[in-house]
Amino acid sequence: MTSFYNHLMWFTFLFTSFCFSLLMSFYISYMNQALYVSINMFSLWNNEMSVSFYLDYMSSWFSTIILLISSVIMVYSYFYMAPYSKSVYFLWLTNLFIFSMLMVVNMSNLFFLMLGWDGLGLVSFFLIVYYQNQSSITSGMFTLLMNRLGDSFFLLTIALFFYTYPDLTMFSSNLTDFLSLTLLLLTFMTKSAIYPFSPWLPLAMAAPTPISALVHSSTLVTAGLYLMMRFSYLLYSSYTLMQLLLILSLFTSFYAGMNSIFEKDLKKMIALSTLSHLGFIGMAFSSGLLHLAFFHMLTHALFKSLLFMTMGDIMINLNHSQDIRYLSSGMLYTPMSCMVMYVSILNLLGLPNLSGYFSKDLVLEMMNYSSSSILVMLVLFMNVFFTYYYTYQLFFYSFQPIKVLPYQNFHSPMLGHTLCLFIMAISTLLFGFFFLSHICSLTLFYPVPLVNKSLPLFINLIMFLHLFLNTKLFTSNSPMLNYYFSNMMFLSNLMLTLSSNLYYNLSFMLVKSLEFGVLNYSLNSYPKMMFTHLSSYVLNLSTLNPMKSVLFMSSFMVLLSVLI
Amino acid sequence: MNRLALIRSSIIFNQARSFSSSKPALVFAKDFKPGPYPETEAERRAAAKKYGLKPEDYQPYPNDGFGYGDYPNLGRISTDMKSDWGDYDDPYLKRNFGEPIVVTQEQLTAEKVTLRPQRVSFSNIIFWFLFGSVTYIGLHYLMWDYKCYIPLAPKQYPRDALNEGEKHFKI
Repeated sequence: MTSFYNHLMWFTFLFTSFCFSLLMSFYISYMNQALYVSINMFSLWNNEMSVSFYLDYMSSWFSTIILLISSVIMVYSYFYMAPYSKSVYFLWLTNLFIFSMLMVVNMSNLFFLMLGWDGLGLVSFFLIVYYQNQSSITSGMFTLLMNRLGDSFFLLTIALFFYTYPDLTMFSSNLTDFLSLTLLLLTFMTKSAIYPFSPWLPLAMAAPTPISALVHSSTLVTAGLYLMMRFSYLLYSSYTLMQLLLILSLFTSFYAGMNSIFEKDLKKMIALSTLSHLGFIGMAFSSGLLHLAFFHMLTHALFKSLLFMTMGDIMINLNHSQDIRYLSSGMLYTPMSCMVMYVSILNLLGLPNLSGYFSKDLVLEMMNYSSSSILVMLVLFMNVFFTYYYTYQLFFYSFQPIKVLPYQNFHSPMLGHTLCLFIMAISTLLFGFFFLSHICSLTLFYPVPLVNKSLPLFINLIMFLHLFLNTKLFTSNSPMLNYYFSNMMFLSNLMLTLSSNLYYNLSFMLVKSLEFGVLNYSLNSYPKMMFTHLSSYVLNLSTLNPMKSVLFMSSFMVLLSVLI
Repeated sequence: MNRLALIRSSIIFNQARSFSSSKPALVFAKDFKPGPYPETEAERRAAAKKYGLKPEDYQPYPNDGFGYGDYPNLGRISTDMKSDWGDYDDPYLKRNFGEPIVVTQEQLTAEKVTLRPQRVSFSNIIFWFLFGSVTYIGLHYLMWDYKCYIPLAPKQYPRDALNEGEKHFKI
């Protein structure tokens, strides 16, 4: 049985590591240092395989954020998973997940990085199927297979790298040919759910909420983007690929935003918001804003995990109902979580002097001054509008007249839980301003006219006024349009139908042609005689005397070993 | 209920049913073994009765040598297409005892595939999916060179002097 002390123990361990990591990140980023530690495992001929860590400001800050979020989630999961976690299984899975993510973040050797990468995919599967519904198994399977696709791309990339640079250290390779770069990009796109690999991300919502808070904010989905940033020295060499990535990630952001307008499932809506942000970060990365993209990734990790955790608190009081239309009913009984949720939402909106504002607005400014095409700018600002829209949807539903669910239970979280949420809320509020001082030497700043700067604020105000005056959300009366945009422009329909039908028809054909066909024919001809004779001999032996069959089998084994 | 308990209970239930007075026709694996392909109308009726189906619902697989015999073709119905709220004997497969199983049952469990028809046809799905993506990506490539340009400083002279493209003087 899990007790509170198990959770507390892991919290203490992770929080202590967070404190150490914070100190180290301070040191590394203030002193402008990078640390490279390499431990030689074995050497074969001329190749040396070594476990090597590369700690620069990126990896140290990212692991700091991961450790902060995961330590808070250790306490949070005690409250949330109390009726479900009957053993330490859940705790160990979560810790394995965090460990593999830290491996991906800090490891420099691609071979050992692959272990962490694979661990992420595998452990996320076990966490998604934690409730053991058939629907959760379906979505877990789909997620796993998507991740396996990425793993296969990654294995091919490693093979290519190994062929030319057997060292396999991250910055040693100099391969800039189109094939290897495409493989590299495809690998990272599968993990980060960028078009056409996105349908797994809303499906992964079948996982328990603490895991969603971990997976969809800082760990699994950002692993791809983070490695993109690590390999930026290779990826930036190809203009074509970066152009493609910009277009695809903007598209991801676009249809995720559209989808979230039509979504009534709370957790799915937040997952789609994550998808939209992933597209935004991918876009910022592909247009060359490496450090700002990293900055936004960190702030996004903080406020999105906070949003998920507070949503989990509210959902507990709704008997785990995820319908957004009952939001106000759940919020009434958790005023503290509700207040913390508004902190996260204000960050998401990018209100001035909050951390979401610093990262997002800087990217928007830089995109304004980059020579992007008109269409890119148009879609970018449409995506910003969608972000405002689905965020105001949360506001809107939180102030609805209360519709209490039947059989509603009321749980009050304990003090430690609330304290942890406060830690997260304060770090979310302060992080942007604080981290800006670290990367100000790495980014460019432009003087911006007031009109340009106040545009996002105006869009905010327009949306708010619309909701305040009309008290009505936009909807479409066309069922076809609803269906089109609530399924990622048929991307998820296509993937699910195609994979189901392909698997079903192919396996049926395979059984027909192979098992009933070729094998049946070949086994029924000459070798059949031999097999039938042998099997009948063994059968006769075993039916007559068990001792004889044991003797026969042992003599057979001796004969085999002698032959070998 | 976990999987093991489910299997165990279903075995016990199966045993109980086999010895009770209201024993269905199909209980053990040997009962499901298909007979020869029904040629005449009477044989078809007998086969339908054997599998507990109405004669008009009964339809055997084509007799093409794959050995299905008189086993009924129950169509492409995956487990997730059946109702979630039925009082089934076997809730995992959503099936009552004594019911014939689909030939490809192990591929059609709810966690594996869904054959549930979508609200729009598959060709429509492919068309609108491709239409959306190709239009979006194509438009981006077409309009890539129409830049959204905001001048940061007044025009600098001499501009493009190296290529001798422009002249800013009249001498």
